[in-house]
Amino acid sequence: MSRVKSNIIISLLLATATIILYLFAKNFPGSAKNFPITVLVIIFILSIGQIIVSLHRFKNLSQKDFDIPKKPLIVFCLSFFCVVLMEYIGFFASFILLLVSLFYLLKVENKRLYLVGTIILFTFIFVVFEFGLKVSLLKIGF
Amino acid sequence: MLSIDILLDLFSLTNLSAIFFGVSIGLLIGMLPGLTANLGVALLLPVTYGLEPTSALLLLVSVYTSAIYGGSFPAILINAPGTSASAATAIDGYVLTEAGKFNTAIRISTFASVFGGIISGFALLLIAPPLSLISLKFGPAQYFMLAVFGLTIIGTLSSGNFIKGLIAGSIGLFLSTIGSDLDSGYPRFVFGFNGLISGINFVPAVIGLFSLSQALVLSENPHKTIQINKIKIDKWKFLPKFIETQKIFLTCFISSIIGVLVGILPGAGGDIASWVSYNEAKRFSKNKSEFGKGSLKGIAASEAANNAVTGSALIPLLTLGIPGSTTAAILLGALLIHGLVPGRELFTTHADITYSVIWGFIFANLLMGIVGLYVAKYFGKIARIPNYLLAPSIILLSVVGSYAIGNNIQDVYTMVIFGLFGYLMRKLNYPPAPLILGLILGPIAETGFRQSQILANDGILLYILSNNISLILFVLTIISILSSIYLELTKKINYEKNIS
Repeated sequence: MSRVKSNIIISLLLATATIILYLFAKNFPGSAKNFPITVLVIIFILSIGQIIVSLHRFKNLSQKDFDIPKKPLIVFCLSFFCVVLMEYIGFFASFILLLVSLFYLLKVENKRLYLVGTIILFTFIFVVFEFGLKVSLLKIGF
Repeated sequence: MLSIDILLDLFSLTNLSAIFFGVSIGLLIGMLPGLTANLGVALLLPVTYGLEPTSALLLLVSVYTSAIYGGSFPAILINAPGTSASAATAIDGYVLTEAGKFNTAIRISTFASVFGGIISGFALLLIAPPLSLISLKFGPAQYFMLAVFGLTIIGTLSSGNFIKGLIAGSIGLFLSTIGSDLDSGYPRFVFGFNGLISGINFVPAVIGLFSLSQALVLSENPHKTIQINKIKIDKWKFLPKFIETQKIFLTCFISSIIGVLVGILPGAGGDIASWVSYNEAKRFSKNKSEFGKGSLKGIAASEAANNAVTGSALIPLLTLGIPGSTTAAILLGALLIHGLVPGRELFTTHADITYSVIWGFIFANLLMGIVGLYVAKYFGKIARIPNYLLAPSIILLSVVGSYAIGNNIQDVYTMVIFGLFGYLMRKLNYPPAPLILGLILGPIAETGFRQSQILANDGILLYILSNNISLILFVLTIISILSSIYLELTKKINYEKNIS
């Protein structure tokens, strides 16, 4: 997808979202609606402005491809899944699963460095948060 | 400004540890290309919850200033600036490294960074207290216009495309309206999610936008390694030679002043200051041809200026609540977390905390020079940390950090969602800084807006323009938008000329 096309699609999505949110906001009681409506109108105007600018400006940019790589999105999904799992199997178990998944996904070369690095980090976090900040990581999910 | 009590407080074991820890973490973050001061401050923000306000702020400002200095190491050694603020340093620094003068370049960069940082600390000490008196004249209309001006200027300056910057800022303002209305208690944009009733907590949002999104960026190239030629160090010298100091002293001084002035302007960060100073140093140099060929003045100009920004960016933050840089925007969050509201009260009721932090900031600049020169020798090893180790580490710290805010798993979900949002924003060229500023300034702007509506008899705009301060802020906002449009048009004309 070209950069210009992605700009237009995002701006259209934003403009549509502001219209939907405006319909919600106008039912707010009294002065509660004034500020959100003002902000939504501004976002709508700016989105339209962005569409116009994208259509008229830097036409040659359309040659430039725009791409979102898959790997970061998989990392995000794994991180999200890890947070969900934290509620069921606890902090340490879910993070070990995440680190093992990332080990394969990111194709770790230096296995020793990865292992030692994560153990040091786990220990550091445990000491700082558990004893220093009194945040009980062991109690997450239990 | 400086009393025995402040000195005793500053040199307490907790505060000294906070400064030392902040300096070490800041240097580490600055040294690693791709990691920024924003990431460091955002990641450490939850750690400060359990600390006293003074220690917490000392830790964060130490990370800020040291990360900017640390960015000069990869710029000098591998021609890859650790932070955008050190891009100008790479021009001459890398030439010196290639000539086997890595130690000289680091000595100069350290001297200039410490010099700039200390000058900006004193500027903060001298300018902020009188400037804070202005905040006493602020009413609802002024606060509203101040928030709008701050957002406009950060939105227009922090992005190549000013409309995207303004959209990001406006989205931040919108997100701040989610949750119970402060007056009526009516739940706005909650859509049945009870967790949203109390609104979006900006700390996990900051961690997600700046830290998790960075981990996702790093995971794009997990095997990216930095090729460093073996640094030959015969005799490591820690202090610059007298002749070197003499040569760069005036450059350091002028560049520090430029850095201080640029830093006070909201949105204009260290990168702008370092380029302006570099160009000015070149313009006034008797030997212009040495620039780009390993000029000591070139390194000094860039480094003194970017560190001078760190202190002065805190001036509008502490006095008016308008951050001078993205990192300062996160620091605004830190102030509010610890119950400190920017303005006159910081220099009266909370003067002990404020002055301890300012003096601590000056001390942190000294300490970072000492620690920096010691660790510079080992930079090669630190910079080789691969992305496949950094990315999981940042994810782990982000999750634990956001959970630590209130022992609440919902904050972790907020962080993760904002992490994806931040990543997509980066990919789509939307700057995340205005969004976070909008989220922080939203409640101030809304309160000012609604109170102005109540007070206004002939319409809100007329009410806002009837006061001198808000009128000036209104004019500045318009100038900021018009100048951005002018710059965009100029860029377009130049682009079309180049194409043709």
